[in-house]
Amino acid sequence: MSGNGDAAPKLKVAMYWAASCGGCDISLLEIGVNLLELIKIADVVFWPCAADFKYQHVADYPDEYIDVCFYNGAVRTSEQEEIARLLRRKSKTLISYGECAIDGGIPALANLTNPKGIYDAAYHHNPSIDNPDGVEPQPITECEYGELEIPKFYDQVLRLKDVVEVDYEIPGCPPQAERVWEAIQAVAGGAVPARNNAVKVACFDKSVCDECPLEKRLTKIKEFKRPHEARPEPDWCLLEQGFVCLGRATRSGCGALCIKGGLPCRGCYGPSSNVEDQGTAMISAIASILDAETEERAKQLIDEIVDPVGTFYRFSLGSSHLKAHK
Amino acid sequence: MSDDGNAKGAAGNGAHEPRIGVFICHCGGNIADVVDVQRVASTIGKLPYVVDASTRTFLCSDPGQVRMEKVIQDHKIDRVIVAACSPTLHALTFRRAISRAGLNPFMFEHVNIREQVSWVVEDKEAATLKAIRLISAAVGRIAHLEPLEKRRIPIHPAAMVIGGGVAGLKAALDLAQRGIDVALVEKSDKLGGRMLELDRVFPTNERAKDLIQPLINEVENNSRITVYRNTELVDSSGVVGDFNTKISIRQPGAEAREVEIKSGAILIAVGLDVYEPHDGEYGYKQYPEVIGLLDLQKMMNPDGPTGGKVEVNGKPVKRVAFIHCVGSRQWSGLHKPQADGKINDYCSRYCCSGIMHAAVELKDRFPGIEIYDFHEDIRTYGRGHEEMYTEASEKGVVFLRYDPHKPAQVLTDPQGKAPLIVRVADRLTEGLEVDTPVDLVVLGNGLQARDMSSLIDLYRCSRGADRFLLEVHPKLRPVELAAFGLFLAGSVQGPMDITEATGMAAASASKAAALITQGFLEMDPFIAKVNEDLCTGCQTCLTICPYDAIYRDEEKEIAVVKEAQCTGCGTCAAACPSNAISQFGFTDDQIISEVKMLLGDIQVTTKV
Repeated sequence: MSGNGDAAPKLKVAMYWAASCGGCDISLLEIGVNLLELIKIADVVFWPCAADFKYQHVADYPDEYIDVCFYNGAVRTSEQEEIARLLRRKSKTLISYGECAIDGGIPALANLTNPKGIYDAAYHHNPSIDNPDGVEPQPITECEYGELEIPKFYDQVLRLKDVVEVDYEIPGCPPQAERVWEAIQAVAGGAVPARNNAVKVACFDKSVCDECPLEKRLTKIKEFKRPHEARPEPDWCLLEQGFVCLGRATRSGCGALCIKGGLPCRGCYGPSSNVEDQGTAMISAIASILDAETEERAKQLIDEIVDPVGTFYRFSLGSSHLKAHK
Repeated sequence: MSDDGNAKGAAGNGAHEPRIGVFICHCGGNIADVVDVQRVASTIGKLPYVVDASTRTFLCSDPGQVRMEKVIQDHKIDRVIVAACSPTLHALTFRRAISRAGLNPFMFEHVNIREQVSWVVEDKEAATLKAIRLISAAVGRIAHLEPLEKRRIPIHPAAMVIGGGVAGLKAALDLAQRGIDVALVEKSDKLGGRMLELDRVFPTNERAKDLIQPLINEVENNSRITVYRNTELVDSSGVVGDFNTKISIRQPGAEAREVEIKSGAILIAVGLDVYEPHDGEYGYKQYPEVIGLLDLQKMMNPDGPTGGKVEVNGKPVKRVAFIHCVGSRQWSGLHKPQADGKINDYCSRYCCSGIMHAAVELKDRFPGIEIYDFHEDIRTYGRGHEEMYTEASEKGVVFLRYDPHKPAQVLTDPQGKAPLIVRVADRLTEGLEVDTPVDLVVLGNGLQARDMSSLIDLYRCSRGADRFLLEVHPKLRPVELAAFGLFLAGSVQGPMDITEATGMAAASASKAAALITQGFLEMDPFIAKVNEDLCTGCQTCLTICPYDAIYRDEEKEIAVVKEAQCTGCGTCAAACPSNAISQFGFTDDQIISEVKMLLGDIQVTTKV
């Protein structure tokens, strides 16, 4: 390393992906030129998506060797839990990065069914499947070298905090680069204590409405529309116009990005700070502002909402009161 | 379910743990004959934070209350559960008792194990278990209670009366007589309202002007009453005790001037409209011989345009037909709906008596005049009204009754002997079709609510399906609107005759005076509160608050509850997607832990 003896020791940073799409890894790159700043202050000691590290490298590190570990993705398999436990042991600070790790994210929608249902859709009854012998992945497979074992597929998708103690959470699907960079700087500057109880950072306490530029007219919802069905009137609250916008029940930090692009908020920052269950929070709010004088009319309106669970719990089913399919 | 939440967790960091006292009443044998109160006490006594659970034969008795106060002090109890009769009966009794023992009266939960348990559950074991469940739930809830204070809202000692008709005048005078300053605002340039159009009024047959003029004079000469004529309501803000209404006053040849009226209460006395038959309904506007009951009043008025002569096209009228229920008691499918798609399916309540009164007067003033009365029903229900009906029959009015689905028809006389005929299948003669030639047809047109949309917007008045403004309860709170401090005076509330309208106006004035002279309003503390740090200003609550009790602080961009206006209905707290609104006495913590205890595992004592 350099001969500059005064320089503070560099941070050791790790990033892991579990049940996720890879968007979180990319979002870390989105900090752009700040990556050069990051490299100045930190060494990457584990990042499967970007560099060729093996689990054994991590296992060989002393405990708490890693200063900050970002863990993205939900816990769906025994491998993901095993690595979560390993990284917990090896890290001073463990951060859930993105909605999948925090609230289950999109993968947790699989909790609406069980492994049998998932296997059925993935290996049997699906128009794009050709599997005449009905083959399914087996935990253990005999081959000429002996037994091969693959990780166990869990009955349900878990959040990182369901398996290990988490210090911080950076919400978003994916987290916004600007917020992430702020968080990294805060960690590097020693502004945050290493251990904390899954405290949310790189976001704000209030809901997306706080950052949303659209105007509320205090009108009630007359009909529901999907984004491909109608063009929203500019400057007017999308929810009031009938587009199911989850902004009111979603934590801010994204800068109302989707809404500024003309699309309703999908709720990717999870519930706002004082809410446990994002879906019920949004459902109560929507139910309150339906323009329906009778129960019958209310039912008609509600029936216009396509895929309610997927809409109201798109990112947070893993943290919801609904829990999982048995 | 074995959630570890339950009542535990109520004691925050460093705060001292709740100390719950549970008092179970036998109510003589009312409760104890069915519920095993000893087992209940023993089971509840083991629940978290419960420091004492005891039973008593009559907890509400003086010795019972004294004992309760002593237990509270001896055990340093800081919150109390009473399991006894209905809270409507004795919640206040026990709140007072715990106050005397030095506790905040709202650190209290009342569980009804009499009406909801011992009187309705026959099986003793089931009743005992149910009592245990209900009290456990209260334990879960009470652990999270915070001391609360009653709200005291000062009342500005003045009233505003909207509408200068007979009801408004009467209400204004009644208030002034109680020493209350009144602002009386009238849309037109005259006080007196509908009564100015009337000649004689039933049942006393007095001249309307002899009744209304002294009332107007009295109002105008009363130093406590300020009259504003030619006004429009522009804007309103504030809540009970402190309403601020902006009115605009038209001035001839000058710009309208705006005045702001501050009042502690508002009385709405804007009256109603007379139903205007649509063109061709019973020949209305089709034939000059078809008029409304009020038009007849004008004709009969010696000071009116005809000098009191009843004539059409200069020809005296010898045969008159009255038709009842025009624009009242309408049937959907049969009658043409109004612009809002609704029909007037109610009875207008003045027309039968009004017709009888007019018929008698015509008979008296024009001997030999023939009068035919076409009706579905006759409802002369008021005091002194039935006598008018009898008198009309005695004086020879001919009554014909038709089926509401086959109403009378007004046609030109095919024989040309009279200007018009009224054709009806008369039910009194087994459906015989009768053509009656007449010179004049008088329609007993009903009453309907006027367009009050701006008033309703300004004050968020509740409205019935019949479009009239709606009181909180027809019997128990007959002149109050749901929004505090707003009172209904007269026929803005539904069809009424003058007698009824002035009676209701007097009631309204009396309720408003009671509020104002009290000087303040004491209200339960169970209102909504916004957590400023959590509120995003998404305005979901503003959209739904039925009492207009939340506004947006434009500077802070958050919602703020108007304490005086909030009824504690909880709608906003349930709707808030940020959970930034909580309801005193019904916080999430309280409700969730109540539900958990209601459903959770409890070790029930089997034997004492």
